[in-house]
Amino acid sequence: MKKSFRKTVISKWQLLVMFLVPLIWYIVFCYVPMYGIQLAFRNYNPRLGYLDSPWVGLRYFQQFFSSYYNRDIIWNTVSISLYSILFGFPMPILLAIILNELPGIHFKKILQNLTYVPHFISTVVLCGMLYLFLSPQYGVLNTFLNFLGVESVGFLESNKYFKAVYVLSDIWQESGWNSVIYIAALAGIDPELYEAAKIDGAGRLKRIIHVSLPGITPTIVTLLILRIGQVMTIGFEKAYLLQNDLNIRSSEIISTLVYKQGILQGNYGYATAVGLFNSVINLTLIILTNKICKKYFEISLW
Amino acid sequence: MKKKWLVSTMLCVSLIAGCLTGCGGSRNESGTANDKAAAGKTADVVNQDGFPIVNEEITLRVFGQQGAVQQPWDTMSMWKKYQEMTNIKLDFTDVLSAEGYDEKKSLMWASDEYDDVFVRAFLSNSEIVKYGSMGILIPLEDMLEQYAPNMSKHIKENPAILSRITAPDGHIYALPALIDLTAARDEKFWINKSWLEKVGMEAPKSIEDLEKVLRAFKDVDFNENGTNDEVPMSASDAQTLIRRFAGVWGHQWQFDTWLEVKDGKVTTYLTDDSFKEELMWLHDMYAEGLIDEEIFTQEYAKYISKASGQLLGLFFNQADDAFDSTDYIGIAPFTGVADNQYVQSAPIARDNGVFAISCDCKYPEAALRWIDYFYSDEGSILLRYGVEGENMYFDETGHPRYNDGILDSPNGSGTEIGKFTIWPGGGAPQLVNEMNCEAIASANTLAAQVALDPHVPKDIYSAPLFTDEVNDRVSVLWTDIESYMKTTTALLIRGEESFDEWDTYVQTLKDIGIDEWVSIYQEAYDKLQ
Repeated sequence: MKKSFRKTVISKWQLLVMFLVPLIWYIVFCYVPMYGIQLAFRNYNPRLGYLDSPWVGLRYFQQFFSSYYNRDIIWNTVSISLYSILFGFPMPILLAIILNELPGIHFKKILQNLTYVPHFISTVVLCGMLYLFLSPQYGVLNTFLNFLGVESVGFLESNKYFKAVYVLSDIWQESGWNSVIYIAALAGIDPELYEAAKIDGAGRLKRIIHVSLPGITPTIVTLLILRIGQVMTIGFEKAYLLQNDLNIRSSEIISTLVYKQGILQGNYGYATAVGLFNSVINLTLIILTNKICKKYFEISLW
Repeated sequence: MKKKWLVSTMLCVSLIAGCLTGCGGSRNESGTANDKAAAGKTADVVNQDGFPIVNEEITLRVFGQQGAVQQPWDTMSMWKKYQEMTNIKLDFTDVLSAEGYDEKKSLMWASDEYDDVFVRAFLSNSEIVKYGSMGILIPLEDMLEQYAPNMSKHIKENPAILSRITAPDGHIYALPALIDLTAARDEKFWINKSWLEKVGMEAPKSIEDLEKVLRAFKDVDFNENGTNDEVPMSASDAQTLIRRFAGVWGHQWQFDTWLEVKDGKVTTYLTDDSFKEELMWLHDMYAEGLIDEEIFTQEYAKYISKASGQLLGLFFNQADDAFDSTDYIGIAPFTGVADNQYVQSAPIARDNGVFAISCDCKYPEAALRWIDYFYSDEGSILLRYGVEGENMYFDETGHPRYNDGILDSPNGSGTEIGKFTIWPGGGAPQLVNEMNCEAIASANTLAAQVALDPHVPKDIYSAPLFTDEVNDRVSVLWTDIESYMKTTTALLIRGEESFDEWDTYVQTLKDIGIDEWVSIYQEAYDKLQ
C-alpha cells in the first residue's frame, strides 16, 4: 500500500502539482478563516486577540434565540430559498428541454442568448430596475395595471409581495444561465435512443419523458443536492438592496442580519454566532439530502 | 487518504493559529509598556498654557469622517492655522468619506492598530463604553482638570454634562459637543406664510386650525407651474413626523428615545391610547392626501430639495440653512389635544463621542489640550468661522461674521463653510452659543425658537451609557421594538392595517419585551438621582 502510494505520487506528479493550487486556495480562504469561528463564543477584544478574549460560551446564541424576530428571520431565509427551489429549480430544465426540441439552429441560438443575458446584469442594477419597473407612481407594471382599471400596487412597499418579487426576478435572471448545463447534458444523449423511440412509435412528449429526462437525471440530482446545501444561503445583496421599513418583516434574512450586526454595529460575536448557526444547518441539510439521494436514486456526491 | 488530508490541514491551521497569538501577545505587552513610558515623558513636553502646545513639533494621526458637504481636511484653512498655532502636525490619512463610513469604522475597531485621536468620528454610546472598557479608548477624567480647563469650566457650570459622558465604570472616554443655544437643539415647525395669505388664513394654533389650513393648502397650485407638486405637510420621514406630533399630544423625548419621566417614573408612550389617537389623526390626514405621499420612502436629500423648492406648507427643520425662509414663519406646537405641548429638545451635550484618544497615542496630554481650545469662545470661533481675514471678520460690536458670499452662496451656506471648517454636518467637537451661531441661527430661526421656548421640557435626559452586558440586552430589545413599531405605525398611517388591531400591536410590543426595555432606563435614571 505504502509503496504503491509513493509510486502513484511519482508517476502522477504533474496532476498533483496542479491539484496543489486549488488546495492552497481552499486552505487559505476556507479553512484558515474557520479559526475565527471561536468569535461566536468570545467577547472579542481586538487588543487581546482571538485566543485571549474572554470566553462567553453560548451567550450570543441565547441572545439570538431570545430575540423576538429570530423565528421570522429564519422562516424568511428558508421560505425564500424553498420558493426559489420549488419554482426556480425546474425552470432551467424546462427551458433546456424546449431549446433542445426546437428546430432550426438559428432561432435556437438567439433564444438561448436572450435568456442568459440577464445573468450578466449586476445585482445593484437589477434592484434599481426592479424599483423603477414596480414603482406605484411611474412603474411600467403599475401603469399597465392602471390601464386595465386595477389600482396601483406597491410591490416593494409591502410584506405581501416581497418574496414573490425576489423569487420571480431570480427566475428571470438566472434560468437561462442555469439551463446551459442541462443543454450540455442533453447534447450528450445518444441520438440512436431518440431514433429507436421514434421507430417504436413514441411521440414528442413520450420521447421527452422516456429519453431526455432519464438522460439528464444524474445532472438534475447532483445540482439539486448542491442547491439544497445552500438553502440557508441566499443572495445577501439583493435582499439588502430591496429592503425598506415597509417590507422588512418579510425581507430580513439571516445574511442581512449578520451584516447589520457584524459590519455595521461591530457586534462580531453575535454576527459570527448567527452565521455559524446558518452554516451548521446548511451542512446538516446537504448531508441529509445526499443520504436520501443515495438511497433512492443511487446518485450521490460522496 | 482522506484522513491524512484532514490531519495535515488541522496541523496547518494550528500552526498559523500559534503564530497569530504569538504576535498578538507580544504586541500587547510592549504596547502598554510604551504607553506608560510615553505618558511619563510627554507630560513634560506639553506647555501648561498658551500656544504653542508643544515646543518640539509632534504629529497626531486623526481618525474621522469628512462630511458629505466638506472638502478634504488638509485643505481647510482652520486646520492649517491651528497646526501653526499649536506646533502639532496632523495626519489626515484616515479621515474617511461619509460613504460607507459605518462599515469602515467597524473594521477599524477590529484592526488593533489605531490612530492617535478620534475627531468627528461619530462614536456611538455603545462604542464608547465597549472600546473604552477594552482599553482602546483611554480614560480622560484625571487629565481634564489640568489639560482641559475650558471643558472643566463648562462641566462645573453644567453638571448635567458629566452624567451624559461618564461611563458606568466611572470613566470618561469621550467628549461631547456643547450646544448652549436652545435653537440648535430642536426642530422648528415651519409654515408657509405666503400660502397662508393666499388662502386667507391665520397661522394655525390648535390642531383643528391646522386641519383647516392643510385642507385649504391641498390642490392649490401656489407656484403656478401647472402641476400639483405642492405638499400640505411633510417631514424627512414618517418616524420624524410621528415624533413631532407626539410632542403635540403632550409627550416628551427623553433619553433620546420614546420615553418620558413623570414623578421619578420612566414610562413609554408607544403603547398609550393617546399615541393611538395621534396615529389615527395622522392616518386621517394621510387618507385625505394632506401628508406627503413619499414620506415612507424618500431620502433626506429629496425632502430638503422639496423644502428649498418652496413646495411644502408645513414641515420640520432645525434651522433655515437649507431653504429660503423669507416666506416661512416658525410656529408653536398645536394645542387642543393635550394639556401641555412639548418640543422634543436635545440636551446641552447634544452629540457625544465627538472626540476620544486611543491607547496608541503617545501624547494624550497634548491631544487633550489640543482639543480643549475648541471649547473656548475664541477656539469655537476658529472652528465655526475659520481664519480671520481669510474666511471671516469681526464686526464693530465684536461679533464674528462670515465674509461676504458665504451665507448667501448659491451652493448653500453649508457647502461654502465646509470648505474651511469641519462643523457642517454636525458631530464636530464644538461649542455653539449665541456668539457664534450666525450660520445656523438666522434671525428667522431665532424668532421661530421663541415660539418653541415655552414648550421645552425643564429637564432633558440624554441617552445613558450602559455597561456592555446591559447594552447587549438593550440593543436586542430595541432592534426588535423599533423594527416592529416602525412597520406597524407605517401600515396604520397608510391604512393598510386597521386600528382594530391596536391591542395586538400593544400585546406584541409587550411580548417583545418593551417593559423590560423601559425598566433598564428606569434603572439608569435611578442611578442618576
